[in-house]
Amino acid sequence: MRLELHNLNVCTHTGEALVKNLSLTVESGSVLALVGGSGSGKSLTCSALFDVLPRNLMYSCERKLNGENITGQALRGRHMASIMQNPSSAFNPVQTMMHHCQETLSAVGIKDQSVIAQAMLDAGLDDWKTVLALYPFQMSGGMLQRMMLALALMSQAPILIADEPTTDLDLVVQRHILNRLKKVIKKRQLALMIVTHDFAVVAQLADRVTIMHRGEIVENTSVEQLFVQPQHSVSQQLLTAHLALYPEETHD
Amino acid sequence: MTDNAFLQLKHVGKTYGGSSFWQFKAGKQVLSDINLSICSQQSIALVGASGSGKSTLCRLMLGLEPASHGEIYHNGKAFRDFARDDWQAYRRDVQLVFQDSIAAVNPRQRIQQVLCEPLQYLRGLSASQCVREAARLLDKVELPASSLEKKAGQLSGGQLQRICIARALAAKPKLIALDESLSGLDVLLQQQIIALLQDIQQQDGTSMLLVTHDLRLVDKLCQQVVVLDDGQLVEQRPAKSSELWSSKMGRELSEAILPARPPIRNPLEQSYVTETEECEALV
Repeated sequence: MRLELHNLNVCTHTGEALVKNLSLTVESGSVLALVGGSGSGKSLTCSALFDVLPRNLMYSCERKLNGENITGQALRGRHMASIMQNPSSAFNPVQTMMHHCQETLSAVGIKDQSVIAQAMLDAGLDDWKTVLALYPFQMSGGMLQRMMLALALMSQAPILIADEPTTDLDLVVQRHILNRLKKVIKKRQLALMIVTHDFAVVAQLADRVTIMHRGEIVENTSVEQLFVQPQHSVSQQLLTAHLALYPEETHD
Repeated sequence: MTDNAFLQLKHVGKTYGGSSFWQFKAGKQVLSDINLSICSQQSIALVGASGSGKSTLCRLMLGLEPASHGEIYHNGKAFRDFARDDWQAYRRDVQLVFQDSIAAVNPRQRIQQVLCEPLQYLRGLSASQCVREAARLLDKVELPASSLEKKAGQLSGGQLQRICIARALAAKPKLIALDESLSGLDVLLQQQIIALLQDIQQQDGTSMLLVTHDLRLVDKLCQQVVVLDDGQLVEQRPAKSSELWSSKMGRELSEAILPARPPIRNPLEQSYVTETEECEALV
Protein backbone atom coordinates (compact mmCIF):
# COMPACT_ATOMS: atom_id res chain seq x y z
CA MET A 1 0.00 0.00 0.00
CA ARG A 2 1.42 3.34 -1.01
CA LEU A 3 -0.23 6.69 -0.52
CA GLU A 4 1.12 9.75 -2.26
CA LEU A 5 0.14 13.35 -1.76
CA HIS A 6 1.25 15.70 -4.51
CA ASN A 7 1.50 19.48 -4.70
CA LEU A 8 -0.63 20.40 -1.73
CA ASN A 9 -1.31 24.13 -1.54
CA VAL A 10 -3.45 25.60 1.23
CA CYS A 11 -4.30 29.29 1.39
CA THR A 12 -6.73 31.58 3.18
CA HIS A 13 -9.37 33.52 1.21
CA THR A 14 -7.12 36.60 1.45
CA GLY A 15 -4.50 34.69 -0.52
CA GLU A 16 -2.04 34.06 2.30
CA ALA A 17 -0.34 30.74 1.57
CA LEU A 18 -0.24 28.41 4.59
CA VAL A 19 1.13 25.29 2.93
CA LYS A 20 3.12 25.50 -0.29
CA ASN A 21 3.80 22.77 -2.83
CA LEU A 22 3.96 19.94 -0.36
CA SER A 23 4.38 16.34 -1.52
CA LEU A 24 4.83 13.25 0.59
CA THR A 25 4.60 9.49 0.41
CA VAL A 26 3.51 6.98 3.05
CA GLU A 27 4.26 3.28 2.55
CA SER A 28 3.22 0.07 4.28
CA GLY A 29 5.54 -1.13 7.01
CA SER A 30 7.27 2.21 7.40
CA VAL A 31 6.79 5.27 9.55
CA LEU A 32 6.94 8.81 8.22
CA ALA A 33 7.36 11.59 10.78
CA LEU A 34 6.16 15.06 9.87
CA VAL A 35 8.10 17.46 12.06
CA GLY A 36 8.11 21.21 12.50
CA GLY A 37 7.70 24.03 14.98
CA SER A 38 4.29 25.36 16.01
CA GLY A 39 2.46 26.95 13.12
CA SER A 40 4.46 25.23 10.40
CA GLY A 41 1.39 23.66 8.79
CA LYS A 42 1.74 20.07 9.99
CA SER A 43 -1.82 19.63 11.13
CA LEU A 44 -3.22 21.46 8.10
CA THR A 45 -1.47 18.89 5.92
CA CYS A 46 -3.18 16.07 7.83
CA SER A 47 -6.59 17.71 7.55
CA ALA A 48 -6.06 18.28 3.83
CA LEU A 49 -5.15 14.63 3.37
CA PHE A 50 -8.50 13.68 4.94
CA ASP A 51 -10.33 16.48 3.09
CA VAL A 52 -11.58 17.93 6.38
CA LEU A 53 -10.04 21.42 6.28
CA PRO A 54 -12.09 24.30 7.67
CA ARG A 55 -14.43 25.83 5.07
CA ASN A 56 -12.66 29.19 4.98
CA LEU A 57 -9.45 27.67 3.65
CA MET A 58 -8.93 26.86 0.01
CA TYR A 59 -6.68 24.06 -1.11
CA SER A 60 -5.63 21.99 -4.07
CA CYS A 61 -3.78 18.69 -4.18
CA GLU A 62 -3.62 15.30 -5.79
CA ARG A 63 -3.91 12.08 -3.79
CA LYS A 64 -2.78 8.75 -5.21
CA LEU A 65 -3.33 5.35 -3.68
CA ASN A 66 -1.09 2.71 -5.28
CA GLY A 67 -0.66 5.01 -8.25
CA GLU A 68 -4.37 5.70 -8.87
CA ASN A 69 -6.11 8.98 -8.17
CA ILE A 70 -8.48 8.91 -5.21
CA THR A 71 -10.58 11.50 -3.38
CA GLY A 72 -10.18 12.35 0.29
CA GLN A 73 -13.67 11.10 1.01
CA ALA A 74 -12.94 7.67 -0.47
CA LEU A 75 -9.73 7.44 1.54
CA ARG A 76 -11.30 8.39 4.86
CA GLY A 77 -12.12 5.44 7.12
CA ARG A 78 -11.71 2.70 4.52
CA HIS A 79 -8.03 3.20 3.71
CA MET A 80 -6.95 5.72 6.27
CA ALA A 81 -7.73 6.09 9.97
CA SER A 82 -6.67 8.83 12.34
CA ILE A 83 -5.48 9.07 15.93
CA MET A 84 -6.02 12.50 17.38
CA GLN A 85 -4.14 14.60 19.87
CA ASN A 86 -6.60 15.13 22.66
CA PRO A 87 -8.08 11.79 23.73
CA SER A 88 -10.33 13.29 26.40
CA SER A 89 -12.33 15.40 23.95
CA ALA A 90 -12.34 13.00 21.00
CA PHE A 91 -14.96 10.64 22.45
CA ASN A 92 -18.67 11.12 22.90
CA PRO A 93 -19.08 11.49 26.68
CA VAL A 94 -22.56 9.93 26.84
CA GLN A 95 -21.76 6.74 24.92
CA THR A 96 -19.93 3.65 26.06
CA MET A 97 -16.85 2.28 24.31
CA MET A 98 -19.03 -0.52 22.86
CA HIS A 99 -21.15 2.09 21.13
CA HIS A 100 -18.06 3.79 19.72
CA CYS A 101 -16.84 0.46 18.36
CA GLN A 102 -20.15 -0.37 16.72
CA GLU A 103 -20.38 3.08 15.22
CA THR A 104 -16.96 2.66 13.65
CA LEU A 105 -17.74 -0.83 12.36
CA SER A 106 -21.05 0.16 10.80
CA ALA A 107 -19.45 3.21 9.18
CA VAL A 108 -16.90 1.09 7.35
CA GLY A 109 -19.33 -1.80 6.80
CA ILE A 110 -17.68 -4.55 8.83
CA LYS A 111 -20.17 -7.07 10.29
CA ASP A 112 -17.72 -9.38 12.03
CA GLN A 113 -17.70 -8.45 15.73
CA SER A 114 -14.54 -10.43 16.48
CA VAL A 115 -12.38 -7.64 15.10
CA ILE A 116 -13.23 -5.60 18.21
CA ALA A 117 -11.46 -7.95 20.57
CA GLN A 118 -8.51 -8.39 18.25
CA ALA A 119 -7.99 -4.65 17.78
CA MET A 120 -8.27 -3.93 21.49
CA LEU A 121 -5.77 -6.63 22.35
CA ASP A 122 -3.39 -5.23 19.76
CA ALA A 123 -3.82 -1.75 21.21
CA GLY A 124 -2.78 -3.05 24.62
CA LEU A 125 -6.21 -3.17 26.28
CA ASP A 126 -5.95 -6.69 27.65
CA ASP A 127 -9.04 -6.35 29.80
CA TRP A 128 -11.17 -5.46 26.78
CA LYS A 129 -14.46 -6.86 28.06
CA THR A 130 -14.50 -4.48 31.02
CA VAL A 131 -13.32 -1.53 28.97
CA LEU A 132 -16.14 -1.91 26.44
CA ALA A 133 -18.69 -1.15 29.14
CA LEU A 134 -16.98 2.07 30.26
CA TYR A 135 -17.83 5.68 29.46
CA PRO A 136 -15.02 8.05 28.42
CA PHE A 137 -15.05 9.90 31.75
CA GLN A 138 -14.37 6.66 33.59
CA MET A 139 -11.12 6.15 31.73
CA SER A 140 -7.69 7.78 32.01
CA GLY A 141 -6.03 9.69 29.18
CA GLY A 142 -3.68 6.82 28.40
CA MET A 143 -6.53 4.31 28.27
CA LEU A 144 -8.54 6.59 25.96
CA GLN A 145 -5.57 7.03 23.67
CA ARG A 146 -5.20 3.24 23.50
CA MET A 147 -8.93 2.98 22.76
CA MET A 148 -8.50 5.50 19.96
CA LEU A 149 -5.73 3.32 18.53
CA ALA A 150 -8.03 0.29 18.86
CA LEU A 151 -10.80 2.10 16.96
CA ALA A 152 -8.35 3.01 14.21
CA LEU A 153 -7.16 -0.61 13.96
CA MET A 154 -10.72 -1.91 14.01
CA SER A 155 -11.54 -0.18 10.75
CA GLN A 156 -8.86 -2.37 9.12
CA ALA A 157 -7.47 0.72 7.41
CA PRO A 158 -3.92 0.03 6.20
CA ILE A 159 -2.79 3.63 6.72
CA LEU A 160 -2.78 5.41 10.09
CA ILE A 161 -2.38 9.15 10.50
CA ALA A 162 -1.46 10.16 14.06
CA ASP A 163 -1.56 13.88 14.77
CA GLU A 164 0.52 14.52 17.92
CA PRO A 165 -0.78 11.31 19.56
CA THR A 166 1.19 11.66 22.79
CA THR A 167 1.58 15.41 23.35
CA ASP A 168 -1.12 15.56 26.01
CA LEU A 169 0.02 12.50 27.93
CA ASP A 170 2.63 12.20 30.62
CA LEU A 171 5.95 10.62 29.70
CA VAL A 172 5.26 7.26 31.33
CA VAL A 173 2.08 6.79 29.32
CA GLN A 174 3.71 8.25 26.21
CA ARG A 175 6.39 5.60 26.28
CA HIS A 176 3.80 2.86 26.62
CA ILE A 177 1.69 4.14 23.71
CA LEU A 178 4.70 4.52 21.42
CA ASN A 179 5.85 0.97 22.16
CA ARG A 180 2.35 -0.26 21.35
CA LEU A 181 2.22 1.66 18.09
CA LYS A 182 5.58 0.27 17.09
CA LYS A 183 4.52 -3.33 17.76
CA VAL A 184 1.21 -2.98 16.00
CA ILE A 185 2.78 -1.48 12.87
CA LYS A 186 5.18 -4.37 12.66
CA LYS A 187 2.51 -6.97 13.31
CA ARG A 188 -0.07 -5.63 10.88
CA GLN A 189 2.34 -4.11 8.35
CA LEU A 190 0.63 -0.73 8.54
CA ALA A 191 1.76 2.56 7.09
CA LEU A 192 1.98 5.32 9.69
CA MET A 193 2.37 9.04 9.37
CA ILE A 194 3.04 10.65 12.72
CA VAL A 195 2.91 14.40 13.25
CA THR A 196 5.02 15.65 16.11
CA HIS A 197 7.42 18.32 17.27
CA ASP A 198 9.22 16.00 19.68
CA PHE A 199 12.48 14.64 18.30
CA ALA A 200 12.55 11.91 20.94
CA VAL A 201 9.37 10.48 19.42
CA VAL A 202 10.91 10.75 15.97
CA ALA A 203 14.03 8.92 17.11
CA GLN A 204 11.98 6.18 18.71
CA LEU A 205 9.48 5.53 15.97
CA ALA A 206 10.21 6.96 12.56
CA ASP A 207 12.00 5.57 9.52
CA ARG A 208 11.79 8.67 7.39
CA VAL A 209 11.45 12.29 8.48
CA THR A 210 9.98 15.28 6.68
CA ILE A 211 10.75 18.63 8.23
CA MET A 212 8.40 21.54 7.61
CA HIS A 213 8.95 25.21 8.15
CA ARG A 214 6.38 27.90 7.36
CA GLY A 215 4.33 25.62 5.17
CA GLU A 216 7.18 24.24 3.13
CA ILE A 217 9.22 21.07 3.25
CA VAL A 218 12.81 22.00 4.04
CA GLU A 219 14.27 18.55 4.46
CA ASN A 220 13.33 14.99 3.68
CA THR A 221 15.71 12.31 4.97
CA SER A 222 16.05 9.09 6.90
CA VAL A 223 16.13 9.24 10.70
CA GLU A 224 19.76 8.18 10.96
CA GLN A 225 20.81 10.84 8.48
CA LEU A 226 18.84 13.51 10.34
CA PHE A 227 20.50 12.79 13.66
CA VAL A 228 23.97 12.52 12.18
CA GLN A 229 23.93 15.18 9.49
CA PRO A 230 20.96 17.54 9.42
CA GLN A 231 21.16 19.60 6.23
CA HIS A 232 18.84 22.56 6.59
CA SER A 233 19.32 25.24 9.27
CA VAL A 234 15.80 24.66 10.62
CA SER A 235 16.49 20.96 11.20
CA GLN A 236 19.81 21.83 12.81
CA GLN A 237 18.13 24.27 15.20
CA LEU A 238 15.43 21.77 16.14
CA LEU A 239 17.98 19.02 16.70
CA THR A 240 20.26 21.21 18.81
CA ALA A 241 17.33 22.32 20.95
CA HIS A 242 16.31 18.70 21.38
CA LEU A 243 19.78 17.46 22.33
CA ALA A 244 20.17 20.35 24.78
CA LEU A 245 17.42 18.76 26.86
CA TYR A 246 19.66 15.81 27.60
CA PRO A 247 22.63 15.79 29.96
CA GLU A 248 26.11 16.22 28.47
CA GLU A 249 27.03 12.57 28.04
CA THR A 250 24.52 12.04 25.24
CA HIS A 251 26.19 14.78 23.21
CA ASP A 252 28.95 13.59 20.96
CA MET B 1 15.90 26.14 58.98
CA THR B 2 12.47 27.26 60.08
CA ASP B 3 13.47 30.90 60.12
CA ASN B 4 14.78 31.25 56.63
CA ALA B 5 12.26 28.88 55.04
CA PHE B 6 10.17 30.86 52.59
CA LEU B 7 7.48 28.20 52.69
CA GLN B 8 7.20 25.32 55.09
CA LEU B 9 4.64 22.53 54.89
CA LYS B 10 3.91 20.40 57.93
CA HIS B 11 1.80 17.24 57.55
CA VAL B 12 -0.24 18.85 54.81
CA GLY B 13 -3.13 16.88 53.33
CA LYS B 14 -6.01 17.62 51.00
CA THR B 15 -9.34 15.85 50.71
CA TYR B 16 -11.92 16.75 48.11
CA GLY B 17 -15.62 16.12 48.66
CA GLY B 18 -16.56 14.31 51.85
CA SER B 19 -19.23 14.78 54.47
CA SER B 20 -21.70 17.56 54.04
CA PHE B 21 -24.35 18.88 56.40
CA TRP B 22 -26.80 16.23 55.25
CA GLN B 23 -24.79 13.09 54.90
CA PHE B 24 -21.61 11.38 55.91
CA LYS B 25 -19.42 10.45 52.98
CA ALA B 26 -15.76 9.61 52.71
CA GLY B 27 -13.96 12.21 50.61
CA LYS B 28 -11.23 11.60 48.08
CA GLN B 29 -7.84 12.07 49.62
CA VAL B 30 -5.58 13.66 47.03
CA LEU B 31 -2.62 14.51 49.23
CA SER B 32 -1.56 13.11 52.55
CA ASP B 33 1.10 14.02 55.08
CA ILE B 34 3.38 16.22 52.99
CA ASN B 35 6.39 17.72 54.78
CA LEU B 36 8.46 20.11 52.73
CA SER B 37 10.28 23.37 53.06
CA ILE B 38 11.45 25.83 50.42
CA CYS B 39 14.15 28.35 51.32
CA SER B 40 14.14 31.72 49.65
CA GLN B 41 16.04 31.83 46.36
CA GLN B 42 15.76 28.06 46.08
CA SER B 43 13.98 26.43 43.17
CA ILE B 44 12.15 23.19 43.53
CA ALA B 45 10.46 20.82 41.10
CA LEU B 46 7.36 18.77 41.80
CA VAL B 47 7.29 15.70 39.59
CA GLY B 48 4.93 12.76 39.27
CA ALA B 49 2.64 11.00 36.81
CA SER B 50 -0.77 12.46 36.01
CA GLY B 51 -3.08 12.27 39.00
CA SER B 52 -0.29 12.15 41.57
CA GLY B 53 -1.40 15.42 43.18
CA LYS B 54 1.36 17.73 42.01
CA SER B 55 -0.93 20.48 40.72
CA THR B 56 -3.03 20.32 43.89
CA LEU B 57 0.06 20.70 46.05
CA CYS B 58 1.09 23.69 43.96
CA ARG B 59 -2.32 25.30 44.48
CA LEU B 60 -2.16 24.69 48.22
CA MET B 61 1.27 26.27 48.44
CA LEU B 62 0.06 29.37 46.63
CA GLY B 63 -2.90 29.69 48.98
CA LEU B 64 -5.44 29.22 46.20
CA GLU B 65 -7.09 26.49 48.21
CA PRO B 66 -7.02 25.74 51.92
CA ALA B 67 -5.32 22.55 53.08
CA SER B 68 -7.63 20.03 54.78
CA HIS B 69 -4.99 18.85 57.23
CA GLY B 70 -1.74 20.21 58.55
CA GLU B 71 -0.43 23.73 58.16
CA ILE B 72 1.61 25.79 55.72
CA TYR B 73 3.95 28.48 57.07
CA HIS B 74 5.25 31.46 55.15
CA ASN B 75 8.29 33.07 56.82
CA GLY B 76 7.26 31.35 60.02
CA LYS B 77 3.64 32.54 59.99
CA ALA B 78 0.85 30.02 59.43
CA PHE B 79 -1.63 30.55 56.60
CA ARG B 80 -4.36 30.06 59.20
CA ASP B 81 -3.24 33.19 61.03
CA PHE B 82 -2.95 35.32 57.91
CA ALA B 83 -4.85 38.58 58.03
CA ARG B 84 -6.20 40.28 54.92
CA ASP B 85 -3.02 42.33 54.53
CA ASP B 86 -0.85 39.22 54.85
CA TRP B 87 -2.73 37.55 52.04
CA GLN B 88 -2.42 40.61 49.89
CA ALA B 89 1.34 40.70 50.42
CA TYR B 90 1.68 36.95 49.92
CA ARG B 91 -0.31 36.96 46.69
CA ARG B 92 2.05 39.63 45.39
CA ASP B 93 5.06 37.51 46.33
CA VAL B 94 3.91 34.37 44.56
CA GLN B 95 2.74 34.28 40.96
CA LEU B 96 1.43 31.40 38.90
CA VAL B 97 2.00 30.69 35.20
CA PHE B 98 -0.50 28.19 33.79
CA GLN B 99 -0.08 25.45 31.24
CA ASP B 100 -2.54 26.71 28.67
CA SER B 101 -1.39 30.23 27.88
CA ILE B 102 -4.15 30.78 25.34
CA ALA B 103 -6.82 30.20 27.98
CA ALA B 104 -4.98 32.23 30.62
CA VAL B 105 -5.15 35.57 28.81
CA ASN B 106 -8.32 37.41 27.83
CA PRO B 107 -8.19 37.31 24.01
CA ARG B 108 -9.95 40.68 23.68
CA GLN B 109 -7.54 42.62 25.86
CA ARG B 110 -4.57 44.38 24.42
CA ILE B 111 -1.21 43.19 25.76
CA GLN B 112 -0.76 46.59 27.35
CA GLN B 113 -3.91 46.07 29.45
CA VAL B 114 -2.83 42.54 30.34
CA LEU B 115 0.50 43.80 31.69
CA CYS B 116 -0.73 47.05 33.24
CA GLU B 117 -3.37 45.43 35.41
CA PRO B 118 -0.95 43.80 37.88
CA LEU B 119 1.33 46.84 37.75
CA GLN B 120 -1.51 49.11 38.72
CA TYR B 121 -3.14 46.97 41.40
CA LEU B 122 -0.21 45.08 42.87
CA ARG B 123 2.53 47.67 42.56
CA GLY B 124 0.39 50.81 42.64
CA LEU B 125 2.08 52.53 39.72
CA SER B 126 0.59 55.50 37.89
CA ALA B 127 -0.66 55.15 34.33
CA SER B 128 2.46 56.55 32.67
CA GLN B 129 4.77 54.51 34.89
CA CYS B 130 2.71 51.44 34.00
CA VAL B 131 3.27 51.92 30.28
CA ARG B 132 6.99 52.39 30.75
CA GLU B 133 7.24 49.35 33.01
CA ALA B 134 5.14 47.24 30.61
CA ALA B 135 7.56 48.06 27.80
CA ARG B 136 10.48 47.08 30.02
CA LEU B 137 8.82 43.75 30.88
CA LEU B 138 8.18 43.02 27.21
CA ASP B 139 11.80 43.70 26.49
CA LYS B 140 12.76 41.30 29.25
CA VAL B 141 10.81 38.45 27.66
CA GLU B 142 12.29 39.37 24.28
CA LEU B 143 9.13 40.47 22.51
CA PRO B 144 9.03 43.60 20.32
CA ALA B 145 7.47 46.71 21.84
CA SER B 146 4.93 46.72 19.00
CA SER B 147 3.24 43.74 20.68
CA LEU B 148 1.87 46.10 23.34
CA GLU B 149 -0.78 47.30 20.92
CA LYS B 150 -1.71 43.82 19.75
CA LYS B 151 -4.63 41.86 21.12
CA ALA B 152 -3.89 38.63 22.93
CA GLY B 153 -5.72 36.65 20.24
CA GLN B 154 -3.22 37.82 17.62
CA LEU B 155 -0.22 36.24 19.33
CA SER B 156 0.91 32.63 19.07
CA GLY B 157 0.96 30.18 21.97
CA GLY B 158 4.66 30.63 22.62
CA GLN B 159 4.44 34.42 22.54
CA LEU B 160 1.48 34.30 24.92
CA GLN B 161 3.40 32.05 27.28
CA ARG B 162 6.06 34.74 27.44
CA ILE B 163 3.35 37.36 28.05
CA CYS B 164 2.14 35.21 30.95
CA ILE B 165 5.66 35.14 32.37
CA ALA B 166 5.95 38.91 31.92
CA ARG B 167 2.63 39.31 33.72
CA ALA B 168 3.91 37.16 36.57
CA LEU B 169 7.11 39.21 36.72
CA ALA B 170 5.11 42.45 36.85
CA ALA B 171 4.38 41.88 40.53
CA LYS B 172 8.10 41.42 41.29
CA PRO B 173 7.39 38.05 42.89
CA LYS B 174 9.74 36.10 45.12
CA LEU B 175 8.39 32.82 43.78
CA ILE B 176 7.03 31.92 40.35
CA ALA B 177 5.04 28.71 40.10
CA LEU B 178 5.07 27.07 36.67
CA ASP B 179 2.28 24.53 36.44
CA GLU B 180 3.27 22.44 33.38
CA SER B 181 3.98 25.77 31.66
CA LEU B 182 6.62 24.22 29.44
CA SER B 183 4.87 21.09 28.26
CA GLY B 184 3.06 21.31 24.95
CA LEU B 185 5.47 23.89 23.54
CA ASP B 186 7.77 22.86 20.73
CA VAL B 187 11.47 22.34 21.52
CA LEU B 188 12.63 25.70 20.19
CA LEU B 189 10.13 27.66 22.26
CA GLN B 190 10.85 25.47 25.26
CA GLN B 191 14.54 26.26 24.96
CA GLN B 192 13.87 30.01 24.66
CA ILE B 193 11.62 30.04 27.70
CA ILE B 194 14.05 27.99 29.79
CA ALA B 195 16.82 30.46 28.92
CA LEU B 196 14.52 33.34 29.86
CA LEU B 197 13.64 31.77 33.20
CA GLN B 198 17.30 31.04 33.95
CA ASP B 199 18.07 34.72 33.35
CA ILE B 200 15.32 35.78 35.71
CA GLN B 201 16.60 33.38 38.36
CA GLN B 202 20.10 34.77 38.16
CA GLN B 203 19.24 38.46 37.87
CA ASP B 204 16.39 38.78 40.36
CA GLY B 205 17.01 35.74 42.54
CA THR B 206 13.43 34.61 41.98
CA SER B 207 12.56 31.10 43.16
CA MET B 208 10.74 28.74 40.85
CA LEU B 209 8.26 26.05 41.68
CA LEU B 210 8.21 23.84 38.60
CA VAL B 211 5.40 21.33 38.26
CA THR B 212 6.16 18.81 35.54
CA HIS B 213 6.29 15.18 34.50
CA ASP B 214 9.34 15.66 32.32
CA LEU B 215 12.53 15.02 34.28
CA ARG B 216 14.62 16.49 31.45
CA LEU B 217 13.46 19.97 32.40
CA VAL B 218 14.12 19.63 36.11
CA ASP B 219 17.86 20.21 36.41
CA LYS B 220 17.67 23.13 33.99
CA LEU B 221 15.83 25.24 36.55
CA CYS B 222 15.76 23.58 39.95
CA GLN B 223 18.12 22.52 42.69
CA GLN B 224 15.74 20.12 44.40
CA VAL B 225 13.27 17.54 43.09
CA VAL B 226 10.28 16.26 44.98
CA VAL B 227 8.62 13.12 43.66
CA LEU B 228 4.93 12.59 44.35
CA ASP B 229 3.16 9.29 43.92
CA ASP B 230 -0.54 8.95 44.56
CA GLY B 231 -0.63 11.92 46.92
CA GLN B 232 2.41 10.90 48.94
CA LEU B 233 5.80 12.52 48.95
CA VAL B 234 8.00 9.53 48.12
CA GLU B 235 11.37 11.10 47.43
CA GLN B 236 13.26 14.33 47.74
CA ARG B 237 16.75 14.79 46.39
CA PRO B 238 19.08 17.22 44.59
CA ALA B 239 18.20 17.73 40.92
CA LYS B 240 21.69 17.05 39.60
CA SER B 241 22.24 13.85 41.53
CA SER B 242 23.54 10.91 39.56
CA GLU B 243 22.38 8.37 42.10
CA LEU B 244 19.63 5.93 41.30
CA TRP B 245 16.12 6.95 42.19
CA SER B 246 15.03 5.31 45.39
CA SER B 247 11.29 5.50 44.76
CA LYS B 248 9.34 3.49 42.21
CA MET B 249 7.76 6.62 40.70
CA GLY B 250 11.17 8.26 40.35
CA ARG B 251 12.46 5.25 38.48
CA GLU B 252 9.37 5.10 36.28
CA LEU B 253 9.69 8.74 35.35
CA SER B 254 13.38 8.49 34.58
CA GLU B 255 12.85 5.40 32.45
CA ALA B 256 10.03 7.09 30.58
CA ILE B 257 12.43 9.57 29.06
CA LEU B 258 12.90 8.48 25.49
CA PRO B 259 16.47 8.08 24.26
CA ALA B 260 17.85 11.19 22.57
CA ARG B 261 18.93 9.42 19.42
CA PRO B 262 17.45 6.72 17.21
CA PRO B 263 18.38 3.16 18.13
CA ILE B 264 21.24 1.69 16.16
CA ARG B 265 19.58 -0.80 13.87
CA ASN B 266 21.53 -3.89 13.12
CA PRO B 267 20.02 -6.18 10.49
CA LEU B 268 18.66 -8.59 13.08
CA GLU B 269 17.34 -5.81 15.35
CA GLN B 270 17.87 -8.20 18.25
CA SER B 271 19.33 -5.94 20.87
CA TYR B 272 16.78 -3.25 20.30
CA VAL B 273 13.72 -5.46 20.58
CA THR B 274 14.80 -6.87 23.92
CA GLU B 275 15.36 -3.35 25.24
CA THR B 276 11.82 -2.36 24.29
CA GLU B 277 10.42 -5.47 25.94
CA GLU B 278 12.31 -4.65 29.08
CA CYS B 279 10.97 -1.13 29.24
CA GLU B 280 7.46 -2.32 28.72
CA ALA B 281 7.78 -4.87 31.48
CA LEU B 282 8.83 -2.08 33.83
CA VAL B 283 6.02 0.26 32.75
